[in-house]
Amino acid sequence: MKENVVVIGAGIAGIQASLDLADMGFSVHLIEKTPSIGGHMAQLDKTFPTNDCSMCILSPKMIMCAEHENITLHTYSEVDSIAGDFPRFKVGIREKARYIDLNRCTGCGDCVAKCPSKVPSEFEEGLSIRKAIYLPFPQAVPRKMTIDAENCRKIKDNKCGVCLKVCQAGAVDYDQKGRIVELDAAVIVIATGFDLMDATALPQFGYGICKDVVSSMQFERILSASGPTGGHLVRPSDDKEPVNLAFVQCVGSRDAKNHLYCSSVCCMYATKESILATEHAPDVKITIFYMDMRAVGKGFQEFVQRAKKSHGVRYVRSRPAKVQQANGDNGVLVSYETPGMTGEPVSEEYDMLILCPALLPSSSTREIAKMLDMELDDDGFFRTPDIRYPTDSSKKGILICGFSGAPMDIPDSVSQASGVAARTAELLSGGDR
Amino acid sequence: MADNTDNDSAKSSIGLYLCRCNGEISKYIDLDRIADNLKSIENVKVVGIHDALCSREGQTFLKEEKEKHGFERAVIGACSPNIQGIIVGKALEEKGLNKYLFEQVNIREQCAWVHPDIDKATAKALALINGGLRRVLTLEPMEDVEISILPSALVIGGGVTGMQAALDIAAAGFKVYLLERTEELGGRAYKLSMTFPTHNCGICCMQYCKECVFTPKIEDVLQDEKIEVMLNSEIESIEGGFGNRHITVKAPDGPREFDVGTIIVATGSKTFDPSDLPELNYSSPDVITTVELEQLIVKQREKGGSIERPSDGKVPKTINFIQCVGSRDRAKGNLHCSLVCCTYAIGQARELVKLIPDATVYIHYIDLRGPYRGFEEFYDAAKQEGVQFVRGRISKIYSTGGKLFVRAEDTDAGALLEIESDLVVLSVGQEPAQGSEKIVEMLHLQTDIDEFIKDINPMFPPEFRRGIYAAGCAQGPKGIRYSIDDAKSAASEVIRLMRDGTVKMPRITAKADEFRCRGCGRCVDVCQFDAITLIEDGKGGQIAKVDEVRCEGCGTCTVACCNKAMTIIGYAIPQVIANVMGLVEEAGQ
Repeated sequence: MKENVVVIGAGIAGIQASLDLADMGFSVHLIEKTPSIGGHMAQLDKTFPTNDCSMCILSPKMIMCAEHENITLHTYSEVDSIAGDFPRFKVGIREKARYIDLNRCTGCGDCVAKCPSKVPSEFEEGLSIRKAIYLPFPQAVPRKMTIDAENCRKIKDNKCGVCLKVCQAGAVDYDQKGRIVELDAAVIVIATGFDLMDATALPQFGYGICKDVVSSMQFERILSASGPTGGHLVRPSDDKEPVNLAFVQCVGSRDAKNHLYCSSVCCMYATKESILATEHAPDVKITIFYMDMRAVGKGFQEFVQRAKKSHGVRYVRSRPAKVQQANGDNGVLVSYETPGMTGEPVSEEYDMLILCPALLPSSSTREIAKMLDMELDDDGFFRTPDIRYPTDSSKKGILICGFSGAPMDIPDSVSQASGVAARTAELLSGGDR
Repeated sequence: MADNTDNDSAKSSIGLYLCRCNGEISKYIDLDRIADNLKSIENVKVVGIHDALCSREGQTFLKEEKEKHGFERAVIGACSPNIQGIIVGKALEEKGLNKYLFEQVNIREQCAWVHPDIDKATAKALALINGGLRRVLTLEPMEDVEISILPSALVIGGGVTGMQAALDIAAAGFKVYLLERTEELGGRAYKLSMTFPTHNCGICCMQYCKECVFTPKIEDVLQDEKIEVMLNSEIESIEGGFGNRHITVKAPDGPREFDVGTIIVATGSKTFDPSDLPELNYSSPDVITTVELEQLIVKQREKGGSIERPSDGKVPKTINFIQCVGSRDRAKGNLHCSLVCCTYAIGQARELVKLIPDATVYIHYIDLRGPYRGFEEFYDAAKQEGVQFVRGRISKIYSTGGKLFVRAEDTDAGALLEIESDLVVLSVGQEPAQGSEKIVEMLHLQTDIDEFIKDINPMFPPEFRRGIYAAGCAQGPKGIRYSIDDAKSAASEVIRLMRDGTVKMPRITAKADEFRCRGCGRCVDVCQFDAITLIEDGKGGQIAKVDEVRCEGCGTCTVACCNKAMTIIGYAIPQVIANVMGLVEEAGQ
C-alpha cells in the first residue's frame, strides 16, 4: 500500500503532478475548489508560442486524471484543516454540498434548460450567463451538475424546485449536506495557481467604466470557438467587429503602488492573442503598449518577430496614462506618452482595449499558508528558498509547483509538476540530498 | 494483404465515428451529409456523430457503441491523430478492438481549419474519410513491440543539469555514467561569481558567503558509488536502440565501453563569440565578455583590492555593458533571446558599483527581460545604487588616441551618445555547446530553428522518446533554477522507464518480404539506425532482417529497396493504394 499524497489545486500543475504521482504508484487525492478540474488553462483558446489548442492538450489529461485508479478527485472541495508533520500529515477536506447525487447525475442538462435563475458565468468571465444549476464548461470533469446555493431559488427561498421535477435520474437533492473527509498524507503538493487582478481597482484604465475595455481573460474567451461569441471577434458595446485593437501590458504589475513583480506571461499571451485576432479578422489592426517586451523562452523571440512581420502588430513602448470613453458609447480614447516625446501626450481612438492585469497568487494560497502556519513572501507567493530543490517550501514535505511559487508559463508549470513527483519519491525513499 | 477481408464480413465490419469537436469541425464541415453518404457503404456497420470524442462522455460513448455493435474495425474522423488519436483509440481498445485496426482521419487541422467554404471542406472531408474506410479494410491485427529497458543511464554533460540528473537517478538506485568533455564537473555555473537573485556565489567557495550551498555539490557526485564520472571524455559511438544502447567513450586512458537503458542529454550551451562582429572591437583588451568579467571578479575576491582592467591594470571608472550581443538579431548572431543576460549583467553591474564606488556604470539594453520572482526588486536596487540604464542598441565600439569609445543611441531621450569608456563588457548570448551537434546526430535528435535540441511537445512531459531526454540549456538558454527543474523532471521520467523495465511501442517498423528480398544490402547501407542486418536465408543466399527495437519507421529503406521487398508495417503498397483509391473515388465525383 503506497502512501497518500494530497494535491491542492487542479489546474495544469496540479493535474500533471497528480498524473505523475499516480503513475509512480502513490495514492493521490486531488482537491479542487470549483466544480471541475482544469483551472485557467481550460479557459484559454490557444497556447503560446505554438498556438496549439489549449483544451486539446488539457482535456485528455483531465480524463486521465478522472480515470486513473490511483487518483481520487475531490471537486467542489476545500482544505478544511492540515495538521501534523512530514511524513504524517492529517488533512481535512471539506466537500461542499453540490445538491446533486454524483452517482445519479448523467450530465444531460435537462435541468439547466429549465432553471430560471441566471448568473454571470465564471468560466466565461462574466461575458455570458449560466444558470444556478450548471456545468461550468462542456468538457468539465466530472461532467456532473452543481447547484450554486447562493443563487438557487429553492434553496434560498424555498420556491421553484423545477430541477428536481425535470431530472429523470433523480439526482437533485436539496437537503444534501457537505461533509468533511479526513485522511493521512505523507506529502502535500500545493498548486493553487493564480487569480487575475481586478482591474476596476485601477480606474485610469477604464475597466468597468468603458464597455469596450475587457480583460485579457475575457478576450481569450471572445477568441475561443467555444466561447460566448462562438469565436467571432466582436466588442461588447455593440457586438460589432472591431478594427483597431489595443493591448495594455503591466496593468497593476511592475508597479510599485500595486504589485512590483512581473507576471511573466502577459507579453507572450498578448502577442498570441494579437496573432489569433488577426487570424479571426484579417483586417484588424493591433497595437500593444508595453514597458519591456519580455519574450523570454524557447521560440518566444521568434513568435514576437512573427507577430510584427506577418501580422502587422505594432508595439509601442508606453504605459498609457488614461483611458476614457470615446465619443459616444463605443470605443475608447487612450492617452499616452512615449519616451523621448516632447509636448502633449498623444490621444488615439481604439474600438476595443484589452488589459493585461497582474496575475496574483490565488486567494486559496493565503488560506492554505495560514493553515500551515507558513509565511508567504512580500508578493504573496510561497517561498521556495533552496535553489537545489526548486519545489521545496520552507516546511518539509510541503511541495510547491506552478504559479503558487512564482509566475510561470504552462511548460514551466508542467515541468515543475513532474519535478514535484520526483521529489516526493525522493523524500519518501529517505533521500534528502 | 489487401484481399483477406472482403468475403468475411464479420471481420471487416467498420464502426465510423465523426467528431464535431464542440463546433470546431461541425462549423465548417457538414458531418450529417458525410454520415448520410457513407452509411450505405458495404462493411460500414454503424455511423455515429459526437460532440467531443476525446471527452469523458465521448469515451464512454465509444465504449458503449463498441459493445452494442461489435464492429472489428474503426474509422474516426476528428482531429490530427498526433493529438488525440492515442486517447480516442484507447477507449475502443479497452473494449477489445485491436489498435492496429483503427484509423483516425484528420478532418480538423487539414480540413475544417483551412477551408472556409463549407461545401468544399465537406467534400474534402468526405474523400479523406472514404480513403480511411478503404484503408482500414486492408489493415491486419497486430500486437505492440515490447521493449526491455536496461537499468542504467548515461548522462552527457557534467554541468548543473547533468549533475542534478545523475544524483537523482543514482538516488533511485540506478547506475549512472556521467560524461564530461572538460577536465572538471560544474559546467558554467561553477565559473560564476554569484547567482541571481540572492547575489550569492555560483558554487560553494566557502569564503565569500556562508549560506552558499545552492547548487548540487560536485563532491556529492564524486562520492556517489552509483555514479561513474568520466572526465575529459567524449562519445565515440552509440549503437543499439531504445532500452539497450552500447556506448563507446573516448577517455584519456583509452576507450571505455558499456551498455545503458536511458540517456539524458545535458550538453548545455556556450557563449557567443563576439569576434565575429568587428564593430564591437573585441580585439581591444578592454572590451571583454561577461564571462571574462566573472573571472575578473573571482580573481578580485581571491586577491583582494579592486577590479583591474586587462590592458594596464587600472581601476576602470566608466564601464559600459552592451546587452544582446549575438542575440535578438539574426544578422548579428542569433534571433533568439538568451534569457539570462539581463539578469547577470545587472548583477555584475551592482558588484562593480560596490567594488568601485566612484565608477559610472551604463547598461545599454533593448528590453529588460526578467520575468522572474525577485527581478524587479533586483533591478530597482541596481537603479538605487546608481547603475544607469540606457535603452537603445549601440552602433560601434572604437578606439582612438588610446581611448575607448562607445557610440550608442538613447531611444528614450532621443539622443546619440559618445561615451568614453575604460572598460566595455559584452553581454554575450548563448548558443548550443560545442560538440552537441555530433551528439544530436548520433542520437537522431531534432533541433529547433535556434539550433538547440527540440523538445517533442513542450506541453507534454516526455513520454515516448525512446529513452532519450534533453534537459537544461541543451534545449535552449535557461537559468540555473529552471535547469534544475528540468533535470529533475527528466530524471523522474528516466527512473520511471527503468523501474518499469519494459515499454510497449507501436509497431510502426519496416519489414522485409522474404520472397522479394534479394539480399543486396542497399537497405543496410541507408539505414541510419543500424536496424537492418543480412542473415542467411537457409537456401544459400541472404535476406534482410529488421530489428524492431532499433527501427524508427522512417521508411528510407523502402525507397532504397530495388525490389519492393521493404515496407513499413501498415503502409504496404496495397494499403496505400486502397487509401488513395478511396480518396480518388470520392474526389472524382
